[in-house]
Amino acid sequence: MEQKQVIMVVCDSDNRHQNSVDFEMLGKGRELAKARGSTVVALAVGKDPLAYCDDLSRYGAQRILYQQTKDFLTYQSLSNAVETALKKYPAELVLFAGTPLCKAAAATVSARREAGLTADCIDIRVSDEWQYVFYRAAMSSSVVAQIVCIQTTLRICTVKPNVFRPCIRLYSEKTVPYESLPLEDASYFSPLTRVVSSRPFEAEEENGLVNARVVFAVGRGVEKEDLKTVSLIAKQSGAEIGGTRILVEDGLLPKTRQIGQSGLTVAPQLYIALGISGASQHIVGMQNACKVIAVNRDPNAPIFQYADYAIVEDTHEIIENMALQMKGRDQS
Amino acid sequence: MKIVVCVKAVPSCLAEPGLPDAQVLALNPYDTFALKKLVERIRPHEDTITCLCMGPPHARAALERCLALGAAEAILLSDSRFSGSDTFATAIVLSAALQRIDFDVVVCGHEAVDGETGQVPYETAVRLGLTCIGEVIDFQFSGHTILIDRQERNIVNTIQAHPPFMICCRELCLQTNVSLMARKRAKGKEIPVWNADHLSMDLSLCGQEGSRTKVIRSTQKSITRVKEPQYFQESPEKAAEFLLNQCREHVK
Repeated sequence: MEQKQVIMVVCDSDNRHQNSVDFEMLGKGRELAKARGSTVVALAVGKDPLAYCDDLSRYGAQRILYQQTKDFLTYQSLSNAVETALKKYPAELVLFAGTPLCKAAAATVSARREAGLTADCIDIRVSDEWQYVFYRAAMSSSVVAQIVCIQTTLRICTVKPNVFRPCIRLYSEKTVPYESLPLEDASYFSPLTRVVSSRPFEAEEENGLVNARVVFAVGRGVEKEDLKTVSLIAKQSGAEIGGTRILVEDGLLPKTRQIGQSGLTVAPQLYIALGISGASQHIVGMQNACKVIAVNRDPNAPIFQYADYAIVEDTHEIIENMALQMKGRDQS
Repeated sequence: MKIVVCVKAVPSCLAEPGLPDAQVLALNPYDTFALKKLVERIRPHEDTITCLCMGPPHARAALERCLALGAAEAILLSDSRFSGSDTFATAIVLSAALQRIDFDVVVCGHEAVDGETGQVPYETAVRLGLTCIGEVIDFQFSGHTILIDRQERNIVNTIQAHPPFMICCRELCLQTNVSLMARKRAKGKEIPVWNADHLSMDLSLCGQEGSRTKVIRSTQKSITRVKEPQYFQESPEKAAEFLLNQCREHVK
């Protein structure tokens, strides 16, 4: 049994090129470990986890476990790996990325191990009472709930990319040895499924929203007819378009372009909020943007509290003017 | 096939934007999608849909919606001793109810628009010992199996699954046209209410007592540092120019 308490960061190595959420979780893990005197253990699982271990070491994992799976990860194989790892290192806190696969695994481990689980945390802190406190945006806008785990010694949370501060690479070399984790029998699940065919997913285009430097974000204050114009302006200026949940629900934007708690989290250099009121569920998706310019007709819109520049104007008029000037630029 | 759909009643202002009323409950839009898809796909005289909802007594409204949309039966799990359940305890109550229902497949929506966690289906699947197939975009009944289209990154895999199992649809839908007749008929239908006693629940497993998380505080706003913005006072033309210049500067 380990002397020190363990904070475990679960890393899906099949997904390692998609984003830097694992490094962000390691950064947060180190911060919490410092406050609690714990050790940060990274668990890399996937088809080729060893290739990932070097990176995890450079970004500050103090111990590294890896498990190689025969096939691409499923939520079942990932949750089995985590449970095997927990036997070796009984952790007090386990962090999972907020991807569909990792979220499913987090819920599975929570139910099996009777652990408290908080989805899509925007922060984790250690309270004066020495408790882990999980922060997340709650229902009906502009409320942040602080959540603690009760009746359990295992706390789990999921975290989206870009929510925690980008982590700096601490070491240039591998610093810790890697421990291999044996594959255990995955007998929990009924195996009565098989893949009969596969095809590429076509409906939504790949977009660069998560890593965009400039984002035009649209909200309910943008008229339906103006959406195309904003899309075009964004495209022509090398920016990406995103929006609030309402627009996705109304079928005006694809789900892959939703910014906020139930969508993506972005951290661009510049975030231009057009006709967005600023509900907390949206704010959590953009709070790490470097510079925010908000356009809204309502001077009391909460979005202005998160903006560096406030433009209190009719959104339609601003969009029309931008379109005109873009045209002018093209012609000159 | 016997299908159970687990649904949630959410504040109507979240389900149908524009309605400011948070007291009235409506069917969660993700569940609407799952149910509508099922109604389209089921084979007459072969497949039946039962909707199951855990919530306060007025969650009945969401189940009436389900009946109007085409579910054959609806059951409300309601007991003041259930209230305060987190996802962990909710899954225990739902699975206790599901164990009393004869089903082949359990269908869920991706998440509820109020809680936005998406955890309950997987936690329930563990309790029932079932596999949960998530990110489902479509499905077809085929004999005693279901062919499921699920998205995994950039691929849609078609999976043939033999019951029992769970699926979790990933889309949502808001607009549903339900005829007045269907709504009236649904209103008149009996919806049984099951409480903790019906489920012979161990009360230490539900409500706040059965939960593993607890909200200790809710704070208004200021998730992030609140800024004092600089107000741009000039004309819309100048504002547009400013935006485009800023954009050009930061794209590099």
